[in-house]
Amino acid sequence: MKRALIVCLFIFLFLIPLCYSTPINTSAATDYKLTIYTYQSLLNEPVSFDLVGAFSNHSGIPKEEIQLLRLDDSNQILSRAILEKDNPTADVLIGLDNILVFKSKSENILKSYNSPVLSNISSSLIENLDPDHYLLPYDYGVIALWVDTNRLNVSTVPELDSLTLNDILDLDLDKKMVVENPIFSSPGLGFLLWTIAVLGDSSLDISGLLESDWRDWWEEANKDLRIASSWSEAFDIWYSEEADRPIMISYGTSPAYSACLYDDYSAVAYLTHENSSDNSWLQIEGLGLVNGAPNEENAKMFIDWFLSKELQDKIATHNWMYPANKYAEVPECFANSAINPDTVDILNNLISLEILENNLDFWLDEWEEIFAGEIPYSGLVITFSALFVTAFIYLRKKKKQ
Amino acid sequence: MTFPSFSLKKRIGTKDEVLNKVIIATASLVIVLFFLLFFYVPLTKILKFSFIEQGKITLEYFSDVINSPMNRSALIFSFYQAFLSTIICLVIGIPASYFLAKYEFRGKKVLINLLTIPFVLPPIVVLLGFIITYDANGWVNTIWQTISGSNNPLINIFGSIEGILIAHIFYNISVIIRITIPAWENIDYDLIDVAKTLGTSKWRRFRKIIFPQIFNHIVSASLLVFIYAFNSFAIVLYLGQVRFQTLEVRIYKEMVRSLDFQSGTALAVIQLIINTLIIVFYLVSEKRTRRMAMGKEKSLKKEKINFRKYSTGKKLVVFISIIYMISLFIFTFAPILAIIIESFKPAVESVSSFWGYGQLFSTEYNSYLHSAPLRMLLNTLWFASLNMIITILISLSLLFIIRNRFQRLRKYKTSRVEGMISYLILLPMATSSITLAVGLFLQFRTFSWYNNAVWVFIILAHVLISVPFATRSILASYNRIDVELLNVASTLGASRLRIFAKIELPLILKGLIVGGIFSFAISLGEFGATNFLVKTEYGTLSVGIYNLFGSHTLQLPAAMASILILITILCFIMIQKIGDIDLKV
Repeated sequence: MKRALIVCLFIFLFLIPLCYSTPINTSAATDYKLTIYTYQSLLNEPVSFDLVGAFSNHSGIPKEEIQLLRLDDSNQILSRAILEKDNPTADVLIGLDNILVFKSKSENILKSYNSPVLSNISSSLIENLDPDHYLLPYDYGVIALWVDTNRLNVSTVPELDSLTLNDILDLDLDKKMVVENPIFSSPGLGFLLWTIAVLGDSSLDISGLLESDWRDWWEEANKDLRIASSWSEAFDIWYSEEADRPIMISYGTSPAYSACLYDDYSAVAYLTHENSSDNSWLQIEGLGLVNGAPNEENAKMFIDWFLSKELQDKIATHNWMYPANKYAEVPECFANSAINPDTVDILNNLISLEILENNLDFWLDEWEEIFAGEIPYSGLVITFSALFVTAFIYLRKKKKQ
Repeated sequence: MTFPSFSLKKRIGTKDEVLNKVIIATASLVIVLFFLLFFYVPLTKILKFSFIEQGKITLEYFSDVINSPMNRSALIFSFYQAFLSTIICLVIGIPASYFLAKYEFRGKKVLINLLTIPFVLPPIVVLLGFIITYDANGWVNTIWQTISGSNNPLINIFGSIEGILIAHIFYNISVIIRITIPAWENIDYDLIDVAKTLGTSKWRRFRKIIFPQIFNHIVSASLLVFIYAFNSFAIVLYLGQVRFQTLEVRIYKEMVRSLDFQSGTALAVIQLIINTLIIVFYLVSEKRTRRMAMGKEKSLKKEKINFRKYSTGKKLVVFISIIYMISLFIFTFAPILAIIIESFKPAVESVSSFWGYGQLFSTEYNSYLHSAPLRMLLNTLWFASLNMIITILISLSLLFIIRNRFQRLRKYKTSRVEGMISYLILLPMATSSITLAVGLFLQFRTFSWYNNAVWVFIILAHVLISVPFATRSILASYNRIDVELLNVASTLGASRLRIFAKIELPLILKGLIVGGIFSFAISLGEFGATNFLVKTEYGTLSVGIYNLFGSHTLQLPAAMASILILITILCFIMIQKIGDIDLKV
């Protein structure tokens, strides 16, 4: 009894400090003037850019009344927005790309916004992302194989400069590679579409560049590739020498990071060169006004500001992509390290938007099936037969008596 | 039975019965409202997705779901890994439990308790410990590479079955050990002695006398391990990668990632049916075990380990057993120790050993965590405390209804209500935590206050998950109360409330506290539902640790996990001091 009392006392002592920090009083009254959903890494490297503070300065809305919610990745932004579409919380979504745009349009979560700043945005990006202005482009870049040349370079693998997807299999480079799961990660999805555009899909009569089938490539690479669920997880694997995977799927602009910050040019982005063109998949990231946004005017002001030169100057050195605004600055170090999408033969044109929209889920399902691990039934068979034999012996002896 | 006492009881009874009825009615109202509002209505909302298409009932989604190869393989894999995990746990756990039952040595009780700690740890913490211990450059592989000189890692835990199995064994081995120790202790050794004098062989004695007596315990323990492994979420989500998925991971993927509610809910219904079946099996087997154990003395003769007395053969056997126990101990403790050491290991040379703990007070990682780690710690404790209080209140109300004393007095049997209620609380237990969370979200998010009250729903989800555990713990101690005592008190004229305050409450207090702390611990580590519901500043440590898996340092998540370990162990010690932990559901 005494002991029980002591325990009760202990628990109450636990509770007292908590009363001072209850989550209730801090936020119940907050009425946000602007809510933004984005992904973890937006404008976040090398140090976090104070997006909320900067917009607060620009607009005069107090910092406390702007809510910036960083979700795990862009898929999560879309999911949350769809779940909330009857009664949206968010005003602006940042980070949906030229693939997620289909679902966001078909689910009707965005509202078209003809921003006055669009005249400063490259028109081909607008055309390729969304001509209807539901989603407005803010940056772009190609997907690329990011190679740590300290560990793997042209002198060890001379084919690197003229690499093709099939070379990756032939040279066993897939054993050195880490790829993001296309279901969860946008560079991973970009790479999957890259392989589809290059190799084609025989079941859908998509010839691609090489008129074979993307499934064959992935099936062969299946056992050797390491799959990571996110870009950052892939980066950890790429970075750690023990894991020995110096190639990862990233962006053509990734080398610029170490080049601009540390003057280190050892990480290099490579494309593939089927039919002697420089092939890659282009990703365009966009932001959009939420359909039924609680604070539509503020949201529009935010979008205009986000596409203006003021903010777009930060894109290259904080988000490590090419800014969509034609007049935004891109530092020198990009030119020597990053792959400029304007010099690449973009594979996106090989898969029409309609085909992409109709088959995306099908392709992802197929990809997942290729990667589904085979369950080694031998373990099950052995255990079951052992159990069966024991039971059999047991029962037979019982019968004898 | 004498007439005067009967009439006396009747007279007091009428007045008291009114009060009792009021209590029962209030309790029933609270319970029914709670479960209806926060479980059954949200559940039907979800079920509508999978059964109704354009106003018509359809089973089309189920056939779609079953026809999808990925879903089918997830279903098969769930069974497969749960079955293997159970078998391996049995093979490893039963010898250990025999050793622990048979031999007496110093610190035995502490050892048993220490071995149980993994079971009460949050899955995210276990996961982190596993990554540090078994990763490509983790402890095990580094040691292996140094010893063998090879460059290949010994174990690959990512995307492999081994990783998932090892994690499940680590998690559940204590369930087997704890449940089967009493089985060995309760064996009727007189029977064995009789058989010995009759000249039976050792094997026959085992088969005919020992095995039938421990069989029920083994079945109960196995079913428990099976159900935990079958519903595994965080471990499979992270270690299985795309290659291996359980049903729960699949439900998460369909509902949260693909927003395919039709498939998600259809899968959830399949999982619900399977879980309910296993739990019913378990309840039956548990009842049988309890009946068998009733009235038995602990008759196993305990031995002190004394090498000098043993023959060479026996020496060897005992020696091997000790080595075996030590390896088991290392297996259990390496991941926990790894986390604590990692929390002091600076990732970059420029920071101090206490950097991880210092970061708790900074806001540097806010962009990953959405709030300061300290705030997450406080949230975690706050949610856990509130969850504990609500859970205890609900469990007490349940107790009032289940043990309606007047029915017991009159009919000497359990009421029908009890049966109904045990099924009422069975269903939330069998429902995946993702489904619980999605249900709550869909049901309440349209209210304008939802966004400011997310924390309420996180706590509600925790309550739904912990009520079954707490209720069982409280019920177990209530069952030990002598009914005669209550009858006597009633005959002597004590009122219903007085009986509760003076007899029932003191006698169930232990069970109440154990149940409370247990629900506290469950809430500390809950991940699936919290991760879905969580928004900005309401994150808990589990969610924070998961979000930091992708960051370049493991020091901060390890520091957060160490704190969780510390709190969990504290809870566990308290439970141990007060009563026995019921690992049983």
